[in-house]
Amino acid sequence: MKELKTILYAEDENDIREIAQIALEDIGGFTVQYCADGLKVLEVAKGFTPDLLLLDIMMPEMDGPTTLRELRKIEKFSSIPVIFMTAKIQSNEVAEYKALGAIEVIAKPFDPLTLAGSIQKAWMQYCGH
Amino acid sequence: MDTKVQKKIEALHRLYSKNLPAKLQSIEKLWQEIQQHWDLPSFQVFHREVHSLCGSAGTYGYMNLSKFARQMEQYLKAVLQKEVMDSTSQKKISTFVSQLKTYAIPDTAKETLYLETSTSESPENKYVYIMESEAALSQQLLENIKAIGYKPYLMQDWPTLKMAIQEHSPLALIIDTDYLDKSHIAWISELQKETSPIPLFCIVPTGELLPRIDAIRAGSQACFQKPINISDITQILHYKCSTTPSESYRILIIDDSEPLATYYALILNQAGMTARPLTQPLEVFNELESFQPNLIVMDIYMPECSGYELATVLRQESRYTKIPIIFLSTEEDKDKKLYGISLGGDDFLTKPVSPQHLISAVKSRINRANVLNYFMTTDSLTGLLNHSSILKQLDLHLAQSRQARLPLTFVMIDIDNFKKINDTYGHPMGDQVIKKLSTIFLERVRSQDFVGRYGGEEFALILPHASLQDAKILVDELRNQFSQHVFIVDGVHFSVTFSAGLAGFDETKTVQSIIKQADEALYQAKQKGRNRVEF
Repeated sequence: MKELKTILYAEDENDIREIAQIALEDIGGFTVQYCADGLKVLEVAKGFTPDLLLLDIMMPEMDGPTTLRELRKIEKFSSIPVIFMTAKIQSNEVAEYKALGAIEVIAKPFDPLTLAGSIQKAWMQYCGH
Repeated sequence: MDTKVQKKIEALHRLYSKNLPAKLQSIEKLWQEIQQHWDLPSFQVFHREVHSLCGSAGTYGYMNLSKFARQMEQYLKAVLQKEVMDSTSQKKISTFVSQLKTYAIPDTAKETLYLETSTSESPENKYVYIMESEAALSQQLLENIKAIGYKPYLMQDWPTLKMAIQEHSPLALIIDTDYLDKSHIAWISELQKETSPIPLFCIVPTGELLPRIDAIRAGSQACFQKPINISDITQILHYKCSTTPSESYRILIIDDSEPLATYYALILNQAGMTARPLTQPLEVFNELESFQPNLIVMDIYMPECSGYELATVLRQESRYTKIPIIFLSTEEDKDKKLYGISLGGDDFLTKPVSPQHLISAVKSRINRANVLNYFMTTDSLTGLLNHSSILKQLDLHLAQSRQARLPLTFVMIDIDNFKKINDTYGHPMGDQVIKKLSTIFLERVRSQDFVGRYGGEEFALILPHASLQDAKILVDELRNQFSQHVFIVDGVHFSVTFSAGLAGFDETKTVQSIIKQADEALYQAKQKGRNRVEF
């Protein structure tokens, strides 16, 4: 199984991004590239190909699903697994996001201590499919 | 956890707390601007700010703020979809905004999100306060309630009781109606109106109506007539108080208008229930399956099918005949309302419905359904689950074990030589033996276990997460305890034993096959001389 090392993470809110940084780097041991919105993601994507995408759903300028659609047009990004994060977590919405190809939908507020674990678990399930 | 990481998190928490007032102020300011000059883009920004508050507050230990922001966000979203702002919405949003600050208090350490997942549980409230003048009965209550794992205390008089309640709010109160005079009825019924009411049970002297009316006025949930059958009280305590209060009622709201459905859901969510809006009536079966609501609120006039049609369909499905339905409509016509009721509707609310009215209609219907449900699912002699309910639970838990890949043990138990007990000592004695065994089961099994009366002298236990070995240890203990109990009838002492057969869950097991296997093990136990546990 391929080990999860690098993550491209888009989140418009500083507060969340900062605590996620601790959760992902210090606790999870991942290497993370941060972006404040979808447009930044597309820019960063030109020079960086991560193992996993972690996208907030609701961002100004370009939201998570749109960002994903744009990324999928880039060949290197056509099959990189994606996890969405959202504060709205109704089961029909989860199904909707999964239909867009998300391997997992993580609810906000999240617990900084278990965030990396949830991501790792989704990754392992994805690799084991 | 790494102390360095902990420090970093703590620093971020401090920073967040420091910036929070400014954040709330900016939300307030945005709202003021929108009120002065409505435009959609500003409202979208306002909505997004509240949305992100919902996500960040919870992560930083402001769970209550997060929950409140969530309700507010849902409401704003509904308004956003309508794209118009009327004065009612404006008032409502202003209330939300003004209340926001009051929720900006960090949760106590015990409640913060990341400690919530740790294994340490807060000690469960087990206190039961009893006020009964008859000394013998008090003593009996004390012993029996203690035996099923609660902490009962006798209260001499009202001042003592009031002090005790202030000191430590109990799980339940048991009060003899002899103590209920006017002023105390008023005091205790006030107690029931608080946010976390204390269930009250009353002991009444005779079959007379008047003491029962007093009990009801005081808010009593059940009355027990002297001479008291102690096991009735312990059963009802178990039943009424063992469910965790956080497990809230699930309400499905079917209305083709999304803002309305969301609005009703919001009202009920604020009242502590879990409501889910559904705007596609044709999706109802999927929703019932996945959400398992306790009650349905539905609109009458919907484009795809009417509420009447939908109710008729549901009432024809045996699984859904019991679920209460409340119709909503602008209908004033009495005949049409009666028609709705005749189709199996339980109540009919006329739009516009006031939030208070909706909440109280939903609550009373659910309470009524719960009482009926209790009598339908439990065995009247023992208070254990009846035959069909234990099978239903078995089905449910086999599915869960399959999904979670966790062990489960199913146990079949049969009282040895029961016919002889009935023949020698009479049927009332036989009933006592069955009741005693039921009480032992209820005392000893874990809260996640299920106990059912499978047949006459046959019992079934479902022990989720228990391996065969663990289950055998438990059932052997139960067997020993039961066999040591001495029954006395007309001066004759005797004891009774049981035999048990165990079957463990594996991937291939169905309800039928696991029962068959346990049954065969039980047969083995009987063959090998009874009073033993086999698998």
